[in-house]
Amino acid sequence: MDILANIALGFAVALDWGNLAYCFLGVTLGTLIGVLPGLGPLVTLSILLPLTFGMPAEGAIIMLAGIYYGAAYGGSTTAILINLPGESSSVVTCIDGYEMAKKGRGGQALVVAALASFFAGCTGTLLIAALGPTLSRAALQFGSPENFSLMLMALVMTGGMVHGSGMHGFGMALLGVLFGIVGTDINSGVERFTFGILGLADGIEFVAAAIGLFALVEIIRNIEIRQANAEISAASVGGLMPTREELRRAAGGAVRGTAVGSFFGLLPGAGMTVASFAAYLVEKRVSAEPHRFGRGAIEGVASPEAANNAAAQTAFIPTLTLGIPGSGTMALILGALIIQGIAPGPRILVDNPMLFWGLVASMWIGNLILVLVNLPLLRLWTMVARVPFQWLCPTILVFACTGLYTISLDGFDILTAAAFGLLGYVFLKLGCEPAPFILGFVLGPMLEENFKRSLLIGRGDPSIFITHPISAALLAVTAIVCILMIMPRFRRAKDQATEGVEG
Amino acid sequence: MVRSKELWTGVLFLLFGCAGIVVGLTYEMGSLSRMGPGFFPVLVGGTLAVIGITSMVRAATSHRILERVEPFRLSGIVWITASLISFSLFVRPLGLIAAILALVITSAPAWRGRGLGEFLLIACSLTGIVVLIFVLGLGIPMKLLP
Repeated sequence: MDILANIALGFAVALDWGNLAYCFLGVTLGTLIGVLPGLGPLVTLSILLPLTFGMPAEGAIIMLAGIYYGAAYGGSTTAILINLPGESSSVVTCIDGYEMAKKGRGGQALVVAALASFFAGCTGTLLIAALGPTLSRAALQFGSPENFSLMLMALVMTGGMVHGSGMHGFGMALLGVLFGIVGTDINSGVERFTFGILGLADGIEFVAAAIGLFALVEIIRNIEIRQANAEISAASVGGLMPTREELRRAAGGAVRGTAVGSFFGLLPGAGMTVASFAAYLVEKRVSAEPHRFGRGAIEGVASPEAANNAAAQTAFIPTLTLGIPGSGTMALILGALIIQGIAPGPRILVDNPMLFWGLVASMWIGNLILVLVNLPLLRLWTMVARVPFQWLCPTILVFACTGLYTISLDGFDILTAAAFGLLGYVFLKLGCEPAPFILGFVLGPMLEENFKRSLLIGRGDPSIFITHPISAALLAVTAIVCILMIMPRFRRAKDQATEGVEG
Repeated sequence: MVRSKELWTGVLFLLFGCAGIVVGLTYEMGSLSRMGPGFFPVLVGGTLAVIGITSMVRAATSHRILERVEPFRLSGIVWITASLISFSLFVRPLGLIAAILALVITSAPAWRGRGLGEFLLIACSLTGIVVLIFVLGLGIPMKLLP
């Protein structure tokens, strides 16, 4: 069987001592930062990106993936014990998780969350192994028009899925595209939007933009709201072993959550937050006793936790096989790959099978590490969650600046980050989500290239986008999403599900 | 309406969209089948400007109470920006250690440590950790001292 040979290759890569260490380091760092309130995967990844540049490509991507799902897991720990979600995808876990913790069953909630996440992680990994090759084979047929339509769809859907107006979300994506094409035009050699500034000739440093928009803005936001949550009290962990009845209820929730999460992860734009909310709503709908929800129902913990982990895994499928990230976080992973000299896209399976299958296998191992290593460390994580802000703030600043400086040993990148911090602050005050911006920023140059090439093939006739069937289908889906976005019922449901920051 | 998020988001999009158009027009436009470097920026800028205007019109004609722009509290953002600028100025000529100290000192008013002792502890341990990780661990050739 082909797939078995591939998975065997993956494990050979992932079980290499160095990669195992990167995986462990990534998962632990991710959890460590994930439990800190307010610091989600976007902030964590943008601060730690520069650390991975010196590593071999496989190690770097394995570690980044570990940070990503480690942060997803860490967020749920604080959600359950302190009623303080480490990030937005675990907001919904607070509802029943904290209720359980107050009844002295916090330990059980955490164990169930970890097991549900593990189950979802394994399923997600299998899905990647199964769907990845199929999708990339299909995508090998993609020409420029298809690629353009696909990217446009990703931008529209991401714009539409974030909290607030879909039109503003798409505007943010376009703004990102505009910033993304700053620098020397590869076709003509003309320097665009550089205004004679030497540091901009190679384009805006991607990590600087990410650090400015996510890390700096998060710090400033924390400074402004610091007084509000001065007092944090943690519920005790208590026992760990769930009862048989609890396990039975949780198992159903985990399975349904995994299904919902896998679907939303594949969808561009939705991400872990939407997945976890959708799973919770589904769980409540199918439950025979919906009144138990909100009062410490264990399936209300299992289902969203499974969903956000499953979504975290399946989100890699479009990113790696199509080269088109579906969310801000995946845009960062894609950026890291490009910096490593690897072009994500359908050819990745042919050109870099070690990287792809190594990552798939390492995800499974990473999920195992999460359960085996992190569960015993629960007490440590709850202590970490209460690190005072006056330590956290300078630490983030120093790491972000030093890391950024190491990329090209140029102080200009730090100034770029500061400028993006200011821009991000304006976005924050206007209620504009930065996730579509970073996606547009990464996709911008590719979007332009494919647009130009399509019209070159079509001899200047824009109808090429609808005469190619796959491209037409993708545009049709995009149009349907736009129409859905205007419908009031859908908008209300979306606003409920996306309260908070997109992870 | 005057202070609504809807209006000012529109203004922001319109400004950047117009900038894209105006600057984009200074580059060669080319034709549809052979686009010059100016074509795509003008197209994107134009779409962005249209979205901006739509948003502004929506703000002006809306009968509902619109969400207001949240108040700007300048102290945090000013100190954080200043701390990054000082890092970027110091790191080349004076080395990493001086730059980190400058960063921590300049940003201190924003996070308000409890007294000098804690401040010194943070500054010293951070410098140590960073040197350990980046210079000794990752082997990045950075100048540490002037």
